[in-house]
Amino acid sequence: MTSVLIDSVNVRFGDFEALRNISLNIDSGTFVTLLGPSGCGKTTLLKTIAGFTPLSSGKMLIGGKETHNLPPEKRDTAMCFQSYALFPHLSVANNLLFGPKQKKLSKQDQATRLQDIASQVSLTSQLDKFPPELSGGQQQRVALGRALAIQPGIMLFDEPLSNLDAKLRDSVRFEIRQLQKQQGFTAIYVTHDQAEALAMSDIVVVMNKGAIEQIGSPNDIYHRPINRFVADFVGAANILPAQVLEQHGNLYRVQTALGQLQVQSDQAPIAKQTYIFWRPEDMCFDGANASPNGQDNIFESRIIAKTFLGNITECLLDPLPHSHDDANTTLACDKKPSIRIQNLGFQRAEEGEQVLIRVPSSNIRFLAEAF
Amino acid sequence: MNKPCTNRLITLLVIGFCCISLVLPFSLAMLWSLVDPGHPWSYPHILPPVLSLQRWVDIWTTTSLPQALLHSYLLAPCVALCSVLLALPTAYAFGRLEFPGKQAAQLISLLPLIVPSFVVALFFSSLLNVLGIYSRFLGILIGQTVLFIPYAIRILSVSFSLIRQEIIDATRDLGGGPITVFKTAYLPVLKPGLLASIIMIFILSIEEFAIAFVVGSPDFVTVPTILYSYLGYNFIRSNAAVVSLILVVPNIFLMLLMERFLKARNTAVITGKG
Amino acid sequence: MNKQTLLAYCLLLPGLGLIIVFIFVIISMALAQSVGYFNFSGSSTFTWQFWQQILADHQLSRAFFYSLKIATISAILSVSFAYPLALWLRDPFRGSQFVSSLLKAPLLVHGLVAAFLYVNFISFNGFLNQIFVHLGLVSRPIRMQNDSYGIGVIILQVWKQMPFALLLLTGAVQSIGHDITDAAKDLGAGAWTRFVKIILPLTLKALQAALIIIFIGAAGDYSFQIVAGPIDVSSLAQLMLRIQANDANGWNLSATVAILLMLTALIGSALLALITQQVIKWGAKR
Repeated sequence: MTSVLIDSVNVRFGDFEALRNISLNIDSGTFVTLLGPSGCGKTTLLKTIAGFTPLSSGKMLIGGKETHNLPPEKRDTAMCFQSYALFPHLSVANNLLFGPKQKKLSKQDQATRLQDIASQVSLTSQLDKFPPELSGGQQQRVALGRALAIQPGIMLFDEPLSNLDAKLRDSVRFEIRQLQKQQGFTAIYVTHDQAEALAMSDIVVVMNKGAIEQIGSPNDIYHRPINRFVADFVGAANILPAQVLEQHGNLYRVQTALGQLQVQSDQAPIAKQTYIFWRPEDMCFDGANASPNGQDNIFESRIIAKTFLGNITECLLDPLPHSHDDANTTLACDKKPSIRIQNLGFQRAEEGEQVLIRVPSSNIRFLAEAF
Repeated sequence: MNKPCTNRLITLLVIGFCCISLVLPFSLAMLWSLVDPGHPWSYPHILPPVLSLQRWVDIWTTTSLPQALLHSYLLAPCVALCSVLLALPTAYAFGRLEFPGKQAAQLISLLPLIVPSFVVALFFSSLLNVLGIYSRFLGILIGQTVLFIPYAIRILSVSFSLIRQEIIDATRDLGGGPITVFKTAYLPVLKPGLLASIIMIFILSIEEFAIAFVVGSPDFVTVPTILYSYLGYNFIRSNAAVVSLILVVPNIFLMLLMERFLKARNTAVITGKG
Repeated sequence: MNKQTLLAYCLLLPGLGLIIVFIFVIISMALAQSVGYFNFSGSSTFTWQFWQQILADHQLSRAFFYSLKIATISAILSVSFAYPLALWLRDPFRGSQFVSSLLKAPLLVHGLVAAFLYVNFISFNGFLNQIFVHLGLVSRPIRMQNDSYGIGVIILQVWKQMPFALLLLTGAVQSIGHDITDAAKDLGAGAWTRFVKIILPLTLKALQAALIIIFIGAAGDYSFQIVAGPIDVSSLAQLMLRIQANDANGWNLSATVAILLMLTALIGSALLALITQQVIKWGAKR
């Protein structure tokens, strides 16, 4: 069981700042995902934890031990590479045993370890084959098993599923999480796939341009993103600049490009001029059945495009201006936004049709970002 | 361990070693070629007492060096041209066609590099005896040509394989005849390879020793055989220094020229020149 | 046979065909002369006499073992120097391009010139002796030329052939992905283990190619031997040329030496490559 403490870490390659002031505290036994677009520094952070990339400044403790000058081979980490990095000249068994041999395990312990790992990653019948003879999924298992075989305190995953097809990815994702729960190792998992991050993690760390944007549980990250980047990167979002007009208790009236909207929020906006957002599934077509409490936002829209995805229907909406709103009070600086809506099942609405849309005020949130 | 620092240290060490094993010997050769014949450079003089170009003049006027240069520089272009012409069809087959036994054929094409050169030279000369070919020039020309075909094949088959079928197809699609196709799709890609292989074989021919020595001796001299005559048991140091410089310096410039033609390719791997 | 295959084979004729005929005829010539045919000085009939005569000659066995020794040591030394350099040059750094072209410079220097430079350097009143005397290491110049162990020849071979090995090995080492070595590091392998268990097995092909080519070149060496080699023992190529020039049955006798030289080069280099493979496999499995 190993924790990781990262304190004000910077990594520079020449003039390029790959990591900027990263501080992160990972508790022992948690599953942490580093999520971000490519080039955001997530893989660099993983490699600094593994010890492949030296820190430019800051400090890092693994299991309470300072890691300065500790080479990768001396760290309690094991990495699952995106390319798998299997040793092509060694059989599956010897790939799996590579780590235990370095740890100078006795022949007997090696044999039992091999059996354990092989059954854990379901490779018992492939042990004598060589990596090039295996399928992608099997190679992925070897990579996983090889890392598990040294029983590391921390497992590092560098987009391990990105070379698998979609079906396989789902099952392996589940297996990795199961293994982590059984073995109890700390897992640090790099991905650019937000669904993967939400599905697997205890904690998601959203990164952008070498810095951390937000750290939180999947629920927090999805429902309470702190800024436009996180809201937009994790799932689809409707984001609007908004001017706070007035407040009644936890109910706020804001002015947006769509006209005046009501926002119900326990958290006060950080500024008068801020952003609001809601998820496409937080709104619905049944504008006509608005609840009588008057706290729902209802506006008329034209459907620009409609996509039926099987379990849901997604539409792109062009909101029509509120007839009773004063046109001058809408935010002139912002061009009229398109709105995405996702509703379960097949929706009857047609492209070009005008519909009434309802967004409950409690589904709209303030982002902690001013403009 | 501080990596950049260690790196710099090793770099300095390697450069220092190269100076001792490369720059120093060449400077000494240069000095020896400039030693004045009237004032010998021997122990305990650290530097030659008098420097002059007298040696160069002497060698030029009293030895067969001009003849050797003439022979070498006459042979080399002929050998280069013959080898490249003979190699072209094979290179085309290797670069652009698929056929059974291609890999084996490619391996076999390296045969002349595997058989020890003096064995080839000696029994080639005995073959010339049997065939009754007594022209030294022709003998060396034939021998070197065959010996260097593999280099031309290697370089040119890479060139041929770099020609893109899409460009050939596009040219024909747009109405280009065979000549247009050759000019637009083949020539631009082939040209650097052709020039490089011609220069390569030119250098190899000038440097070739085994066949030139065994077939040519004693009456047909080339630059390496004349250098050889100054080495060994009757070691004439200053003469050897002069001929060494004449042999090495132009070839280095030619080599650099060739590198430019093969920019992206790893020349020495292709040529394995030794 | 379809049309394209036929075309391909026809295209091979002027280049590859010529090579095959040439080498085949030359080897046949040597074989025929070694058993008495094409005898330029006597009657041409089949006889084993030249083989019997040469195999009984103790000069031959000395030359054989000498050439074998020089070839093996040169090949092994060249790759042993080339490996660390190739690993060092694996990742580019400031000046690495310059260093690698400097290291490859001997490829551009003719063998005879290299031999001259070396002899000029170490000869009786050469630079090295001058330095030694002036530093007071020796009182009078010492004789280093034509040393009887063939050290000079080995130095020249390594000087000339190491860059070639470096070229092959740099390519091979650079084609190993960083992920692979990183993975080994991550699993606890130190620098030496990584070299033995990962780098060596993955560069085996290039290593074998370098060993074979250097071995064959050094086994058939004539120029270095005659300029810098020992006086009292010949290399196989030297012996072959000397017998041809000096003996009454020169052609036939030298043909036997030629056959032996080719066999030595081929079998020796193949054995060297095979042993290397076994050693490396054993090292990687351990």
